[in-house]
Amino acid sequence: MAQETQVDSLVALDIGSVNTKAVLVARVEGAYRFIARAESATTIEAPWSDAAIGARHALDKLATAAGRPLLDDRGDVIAPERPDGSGVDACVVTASAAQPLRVVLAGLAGEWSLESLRRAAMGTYATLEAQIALSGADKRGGRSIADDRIQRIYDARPDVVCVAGGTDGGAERSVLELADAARVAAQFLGAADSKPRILFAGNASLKPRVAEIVGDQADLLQIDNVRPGLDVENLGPAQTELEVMYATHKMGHIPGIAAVSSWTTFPALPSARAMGHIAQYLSATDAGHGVLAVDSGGSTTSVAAAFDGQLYMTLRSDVGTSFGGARFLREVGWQAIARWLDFEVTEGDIRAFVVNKELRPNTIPQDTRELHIEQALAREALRAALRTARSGWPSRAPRFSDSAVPIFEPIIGTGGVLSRAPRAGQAALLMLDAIEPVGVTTLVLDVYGLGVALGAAAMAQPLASVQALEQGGMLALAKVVAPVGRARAGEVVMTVKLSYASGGTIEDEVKAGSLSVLPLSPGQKAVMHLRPRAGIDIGRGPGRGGRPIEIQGSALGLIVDARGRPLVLPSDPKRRMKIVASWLWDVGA
Amino acid sequence: MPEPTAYYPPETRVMPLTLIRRERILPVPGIVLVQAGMRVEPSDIVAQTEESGQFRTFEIARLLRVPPANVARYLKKEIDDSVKAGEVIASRPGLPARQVRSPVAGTLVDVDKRAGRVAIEVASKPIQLRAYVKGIIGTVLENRGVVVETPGALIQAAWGIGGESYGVLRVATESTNEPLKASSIDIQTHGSIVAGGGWITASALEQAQQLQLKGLIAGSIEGDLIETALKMPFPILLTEGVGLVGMAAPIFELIRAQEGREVSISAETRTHWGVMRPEILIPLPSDTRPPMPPAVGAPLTVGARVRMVRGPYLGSVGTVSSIPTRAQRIEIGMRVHGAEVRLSPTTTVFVPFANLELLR
Repeated sequence: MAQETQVDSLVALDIGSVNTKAVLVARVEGAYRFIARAESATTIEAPWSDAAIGARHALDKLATAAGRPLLDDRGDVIAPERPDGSGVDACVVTASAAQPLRVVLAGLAGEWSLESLRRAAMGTYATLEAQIALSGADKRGGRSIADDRIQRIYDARPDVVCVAGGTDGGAERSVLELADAARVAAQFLGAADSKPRILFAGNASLKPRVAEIVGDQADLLQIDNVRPGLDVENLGPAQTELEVMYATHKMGHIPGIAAVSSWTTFPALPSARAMGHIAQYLSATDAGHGVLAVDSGGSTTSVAAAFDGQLYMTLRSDVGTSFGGARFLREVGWQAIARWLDFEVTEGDIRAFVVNKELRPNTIPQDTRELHIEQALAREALRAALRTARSGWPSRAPRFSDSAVPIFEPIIGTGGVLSRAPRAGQAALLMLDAIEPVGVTTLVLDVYGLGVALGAAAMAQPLASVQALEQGGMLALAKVVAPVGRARAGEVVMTVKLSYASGGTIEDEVKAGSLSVLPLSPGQKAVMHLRPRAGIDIGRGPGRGGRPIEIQGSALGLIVDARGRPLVLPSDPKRRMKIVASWLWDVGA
Repeated sequence: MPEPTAYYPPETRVMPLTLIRRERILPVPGIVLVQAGMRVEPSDIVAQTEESGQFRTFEIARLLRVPPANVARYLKKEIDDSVKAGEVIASRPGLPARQVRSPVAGTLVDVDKRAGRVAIEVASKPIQLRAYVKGIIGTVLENRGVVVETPGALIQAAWGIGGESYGVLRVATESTNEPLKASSIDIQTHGSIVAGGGWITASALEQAQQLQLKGLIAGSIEGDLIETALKMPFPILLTEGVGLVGMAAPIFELIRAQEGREVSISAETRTHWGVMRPEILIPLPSDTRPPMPPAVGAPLTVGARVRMVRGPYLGSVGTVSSIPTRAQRIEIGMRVHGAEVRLSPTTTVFVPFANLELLR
């Protein structure tokens, strides 16, 4: 078994839609550490059409950075590690570059089954091509409702039709009608060489009849009901099946993936799942708070939230910082992007930006204006993904003061726009604006894409992930205190005092609406004393500051975000630009 | 952290003479109408087929009031039989007699005995595949299409709106910094493909519609005009992207040199999961077999001709004068690897690798 083999070094390859990253982790003085990383443009598209080319470019760079040869004369990864130090003991592969699963959802409206299916589908790389609700349908284009249902499935050209509806032992006829529509559409699509699978996740008592309806007309998978009871949601089996389909039928079709896969004995893992593993691992240590990891990727924006060891993945595979911008503008409006900018832009400016970025996804901003537009787009994409994610988080997630956002500690940010932010303050403000965290938390920036690498490395050597994560490799951006409660702008809502271990104190009266930074450099320590005003909550009950806590230094120190929750921007453009500029200034962005 | 200097940039093809080969493939199998070696014009139909993708189902059991399992005995058509609009597809004698007529013409494709239902695939108009480019049929792909070959000039653009077109090429501006306005587009360009070195303005779109142009080619288009451009009845090709960006000089010079020739253009653009780039093809006479396009994947080297693909030098073309081994700091504060690019004898700028592409 590969897992039992001694693994002293491993390389993790992540094939993204824009860049391919390579990370080297090795055992140094008995403990696994992050050694080096490199990246190169992904080469799955013409004229290359071979993921292995970009992977070799990244590994070449990594070899130079680490000072150890990683590829042999044939361009394959050297494994196991040789006595001369070349090669690695293991290689793991993740990918997010494949086309998402095209999914059609069919369920009973008003019964929540569609909503549950939607959440299950968004747990992996998938795009929702159509949603068919049985009730409330209208005749379209002169067709009957039944024909319209079939036609919509057919036109969507899905990889999979997910059918749900009925609690276990509940609705029958209407659910069978949906299964029948999926069967007929699948049969027609089969004639066009694009037969979808049918995933049945509805009323469990109907499984034999659904099997009879579908017969041999389509590949049918039957799993546990996503809504076995009105108040019970069971997304796990549907999410697992959809993720397996993505890994098998989409990742497996990435051009050149076979060559890359030949370098590893482990199955290639979806990148978001690997990141999710890290959030899940970190959350298992303390049930008092969740762990959040957000990834602002080129073609996908993903959110991994974990509570008490339970992972909740949400992916927006239709919007990233390189691809999907034009469609996203139609969803949120160009003003939603413009509102995060401290300068005037027109609709044309924003449209030009998203089109040009999609045409040249590998490019980087060279001037401040373009940098800020790119970061504004990432803010909104993350906010959109979080809106979707929040509805699926458990009611038992630790919260306070009716806050929409649970308590997270830490919050990890990754993805090109975040990890390449020229200033730590830009990354921190982007995360604060997008996530709107509450209470006391820590912002961590995954500068090197280590989260995905270590999440995948756990397959080869679990200890390597744990130790490398604990040894650093991610950048501590800031400790954050975000009070919640009603206050007028300018009113003092709390006082904050930092008593530095090296001597000296700093005290600040925090005013509602303000964003302030108290310095605490990396390597420094301080004791933080918080005294919120009556009615103001920092997670310890209204008006309660709790015990002083020792905090570690970070790139920015302590950020006190008293701008209020939810964050509201002035509607007047001039006031808005002024306040956005002041926030950027406050965090040194 | 040291990095090797090898960088493999994306490439854009701007070739005065090469062997152009274009596959013309039907979306579903059909009939190929030409033979290898035949000369074709862009408008010639080289293959055709039919594809419907529209279906109607009929609840025969319910409409005839018979058990689903017995439906087959009342059907007047079998699978794969064609059906005319208004034709009876099932009937049951007796009092009262019952009939089911198809309101659409098509083919009976399914009989579901369990549900007592039949499905008809609605008849469609034929799909006709045109040659798109003037040339010779190099290869026939049985039942699927052909490969058309011709010597000619090839220019890859950055973005396109619309589909394919062909016509006589006319150039409407003198330089790459002159916007394409209504006043630039002469009435004599009626029905042709018009190219301008600068960016497309609103008045140019109006004028192009009035003159029934077959296509517009320019460096870029104002961002505010994208929605309008999407509604134009002709393809639009942009060599640089969106904004107020002039066409890369070598592209403009090549287009100007070919004014008056018949060109084929395709605006089809796909940015990922099967990239397709818009293109301008200009068939040219050639006595000898022209060179094939160069192999892709060359690393960036000193002396390479490169184009800048992001601001502040978007659209500028220059020559790599050196590749510094150390990362350099750019305006936004990042340190990045890149190349020194000579834009003119007196101007050399540092450009991140990520913002460069080879122009070959």
